[in-house]
Amino acid sequence: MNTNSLLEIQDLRVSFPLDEGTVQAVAGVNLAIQPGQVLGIVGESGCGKTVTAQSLLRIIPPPGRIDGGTILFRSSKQSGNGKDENIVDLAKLNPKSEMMRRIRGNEIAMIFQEPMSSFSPVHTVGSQIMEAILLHQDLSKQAARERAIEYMRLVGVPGAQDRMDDYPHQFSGGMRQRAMIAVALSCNPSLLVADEPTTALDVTIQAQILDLMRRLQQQFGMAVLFITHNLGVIAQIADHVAIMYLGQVVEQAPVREILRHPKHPYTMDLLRAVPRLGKTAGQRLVAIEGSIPSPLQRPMGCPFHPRCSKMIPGVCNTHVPQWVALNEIHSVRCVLYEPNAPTPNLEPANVRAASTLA
Amino acid sequence: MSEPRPHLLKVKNLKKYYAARQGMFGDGSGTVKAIDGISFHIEQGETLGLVGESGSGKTTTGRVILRAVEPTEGQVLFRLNGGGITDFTALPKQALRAFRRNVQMIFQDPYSSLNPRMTVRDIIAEPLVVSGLAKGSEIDDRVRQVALRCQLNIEHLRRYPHAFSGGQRQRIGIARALVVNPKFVVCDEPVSALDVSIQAQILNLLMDAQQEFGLTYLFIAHDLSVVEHVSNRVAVMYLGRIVELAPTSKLFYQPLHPYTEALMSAIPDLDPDRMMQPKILEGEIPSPANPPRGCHFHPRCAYAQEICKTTVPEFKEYKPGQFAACHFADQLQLQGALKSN
Amino acid sequence: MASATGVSGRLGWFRRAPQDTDARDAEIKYYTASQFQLIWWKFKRHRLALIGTFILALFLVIAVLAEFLAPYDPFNRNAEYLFGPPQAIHFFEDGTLHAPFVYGITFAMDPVSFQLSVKEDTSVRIPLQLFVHGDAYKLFGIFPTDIHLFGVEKGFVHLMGSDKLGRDLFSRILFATRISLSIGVIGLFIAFFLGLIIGGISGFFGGAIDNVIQRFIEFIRSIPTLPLWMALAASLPKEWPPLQVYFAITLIIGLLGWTHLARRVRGKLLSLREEDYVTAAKIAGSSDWRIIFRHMLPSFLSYIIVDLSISFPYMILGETALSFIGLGLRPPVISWGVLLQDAQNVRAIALYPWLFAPVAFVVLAVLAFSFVGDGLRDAADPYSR
Repeated sequence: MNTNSLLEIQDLRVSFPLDEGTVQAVAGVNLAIQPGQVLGIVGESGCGKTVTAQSLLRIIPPPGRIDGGTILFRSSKQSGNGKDENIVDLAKLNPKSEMMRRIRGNEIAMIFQEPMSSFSPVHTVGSQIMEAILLHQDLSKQAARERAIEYMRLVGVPGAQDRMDDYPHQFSGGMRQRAMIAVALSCNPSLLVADEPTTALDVTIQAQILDLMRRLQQQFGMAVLFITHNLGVIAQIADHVAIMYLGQVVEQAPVREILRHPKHPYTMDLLRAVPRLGKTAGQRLVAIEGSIPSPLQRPMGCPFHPRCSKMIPGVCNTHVPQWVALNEIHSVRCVLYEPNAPTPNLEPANVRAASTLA
Repeated sequence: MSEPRPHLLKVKNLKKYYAARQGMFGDGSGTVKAIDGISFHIEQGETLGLVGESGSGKTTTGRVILRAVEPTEGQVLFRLNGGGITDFTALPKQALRAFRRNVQMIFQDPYSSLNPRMTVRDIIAEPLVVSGLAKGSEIDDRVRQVALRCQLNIEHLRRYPHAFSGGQRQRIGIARALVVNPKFVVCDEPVSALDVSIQAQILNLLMDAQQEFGLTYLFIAHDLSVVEHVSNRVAVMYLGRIVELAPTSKLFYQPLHPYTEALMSAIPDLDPDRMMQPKILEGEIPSPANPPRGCHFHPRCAYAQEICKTTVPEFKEYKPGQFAACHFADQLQLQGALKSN
Repeated sequence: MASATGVSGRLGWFRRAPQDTDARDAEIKYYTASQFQLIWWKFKRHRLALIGTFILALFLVIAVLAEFLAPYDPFNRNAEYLFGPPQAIHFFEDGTLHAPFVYGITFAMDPVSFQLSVKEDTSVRIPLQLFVHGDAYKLFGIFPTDIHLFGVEKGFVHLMGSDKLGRDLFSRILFATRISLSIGVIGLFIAFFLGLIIGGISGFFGGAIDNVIQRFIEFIRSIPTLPLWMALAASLPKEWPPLQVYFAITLIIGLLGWTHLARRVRGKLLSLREEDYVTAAKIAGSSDWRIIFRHMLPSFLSYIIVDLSISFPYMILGETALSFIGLGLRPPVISWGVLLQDAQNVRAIALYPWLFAPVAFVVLAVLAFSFVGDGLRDAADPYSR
């Protein structure tokens, strides 16, 4: 593990054995997050971004299972004799173990797209924030209540004192998301996993939440793994970006680098495919052809090759591209950048297979 | 905007009120004013974008215009091909059904908008069959023709919707709308349920079809980048009223209404160096069941004055083609999402 | 979550063939499958439901062919064998295999208690035979014949014993199956008809009509079921012939079962009205009738079938309970409940436990319907995501 990474995922594989076949939801993901960094994961449906996040906390829904790879996490909790640092492989832990439970919520917190489902409808919002605080901190009930009000203020719930005793359904979507952030922050995590936290919100509320998260991230100095499908949101909040497609990270780089100098054909096409203010009005967009394959029928070779505009027959449809570091900050998984790329294997079978898939 | 094109559609003071039950026993009665008196027109062959956040009434507007839901008050007038004016809202049942072939709709959710128990062929053919425009083999010919145009594999016509991905389902929905050669189509968030890489395909298809068949669109969306991309003019709704309506270029460079400004400041820009500076709006969108008095936007407006709390601002033309409902529209200097340089 | 469960929702229960061309064919088959094919494929994978279906099919055969399957006429008395215990079927004697047979019966009087005890007489072997001539009957009420599926030529065979008049319990249970199931079916039909009409009116028109109907349904449902049944059944004149009582009881059971169905129909109609595809049909210019029959009815048919199969056990249990306490069907009509009337006292439990055999049939029928209902409920909406 890199000396200063907070989290390093290597060759993570997660599959869901279903009746009609096995879905490789995560097929060899490599990621690294530095302390205090905001890493954005962008991808479309079925790219495995949510499952990747779920495997960090070991909350993959059944029948999903981790088949291989490591998730190294630098666990550092204050103990009796100062700071105690050790590296844990989350992929090897038992999801129900004491250790995992301690990390979950204490060191890694998570917020979701739909905050309603993570609140109990029969308890007040305030009591649920207090519960989270009491779980992690040794405080009296009164002190916990004051701390909870403090957190509610911090996340910008107006009239925090009065709204403590409201139930989740009395909160609007945006306010609920704020309350959930308060719960997540209550344990002062070193990593916050945010799974599409603004997708269900209106634009003006999304802007508020992004603004809030940016502020709190700096204030608390925590690392954030921010999952979204919206490239605009990622540009606004992330330091680093990982682009995922069908269970693999295809490109990772700092946000400016990836938006200005994308290397992977998927990233390039994706950036061209979104309407941009003042640039594309009235013109045709450069669309990515075809549709996202069913995860049950992962294409051979590079998973993107059937839709790729730079597909090389005989290579892309047979050879699985390797994860190549272009420089210290920019890595990509595409045969175009492989130093020892295989030469096209133009046996008729391969070429035909490629053309029918395309 | 070179020369004004003839109006295809005119909406006059359209209202849709719902009776709302309040209180534990449904005793407290109230009205939700989903649409509270909106007026606008759409020119032949143009796309009018309609944006707003949840509760703004934009979806209801689309449905009321097509009389999927009956309006409470107001008129929807059509003038097809420069012919006579039809008062769509006053058409009796039979005439209404006959007129429907001219106006169609594309839905947001590609899953619930297709009957899962019908084959794709039957789904696309339905408007054709019920309008009696085609008979027998003509139906199949026309279905195949329009399916091909929407880039569907015609071998898949006998399949059921469960065989298709979201993007393909949306193509089926578009084919169904286009099969009767309509003049006017309401696109209700047609791409917001789709993946980014699929959105572009559908947007292109919609824009190509517009060119090819001379369609007029009412394009409802919450994504301003998409609206800017497709629309000639844009109307902004807030709590059941249109607060601003202007040509796309004008609106995005120099909005007249503070809400439009706030909305635009919240668009997350793809350029990380153009950090958005959202005009943080105070509070949340109020419930349409209990909207604020005066200008609906005043509790969240940074420029609000005394008059805004009491008097509803008039929706009128401040600059050529630019309409707004704000007491200070001609005094404020507001920021658009785009800067002219 | 997004990827994997999304897929399992869409394709999860569809088994894909392993080979390339097979897979393609299977895919096309799946993609062109109609609603009922999809339901069947999904239903097939529910093992308990399949077992339930099998049992129900068996019951159906019994109901239709009771005369042929039963070895005796249900009213035929065997004066030699009153309250006789079940006779076991044997295959072996002294270690050698024989065709199935039963032993003859001898009676012995306990010299102390004077209790008559029944013993197998191992010296008399009575072989069971297929297609024997026995009591005359008319198959399907038309073809006169006297052939029974099995029986004995000499002596007698009572697989489940006999009752106080020496009538063969097994035969009586088979005949009772017919009556009990028919009460369920007809009762359900009445309930279904009422539920569909009243629920349909309620859901389609809405407003004040809906309100009145719903309050009425609530009123009916607030009356405790069993006392109401009893009151209604008790009000039937004693002098009515059995057939008339039969129809009256069916009507009572059906009349009280519709409220649940009416509510389901209404709820489903209301939710369907909001579906985008119904709006789409309206915008396309479809008539109300077309919308109802083409779009709404097919999607709710499957739910109605589920509800019917789940309501069925209540109908059977209702009849059984009423007849058991003597307010329902009366002899000579034979139903499971009527048969159980004989098993109403402690003496019967202690001395003639075989009189409880009909209970096993009731339990089996109710369980089978519940399993099938469960399986259908899971399969009913093959499009759920």
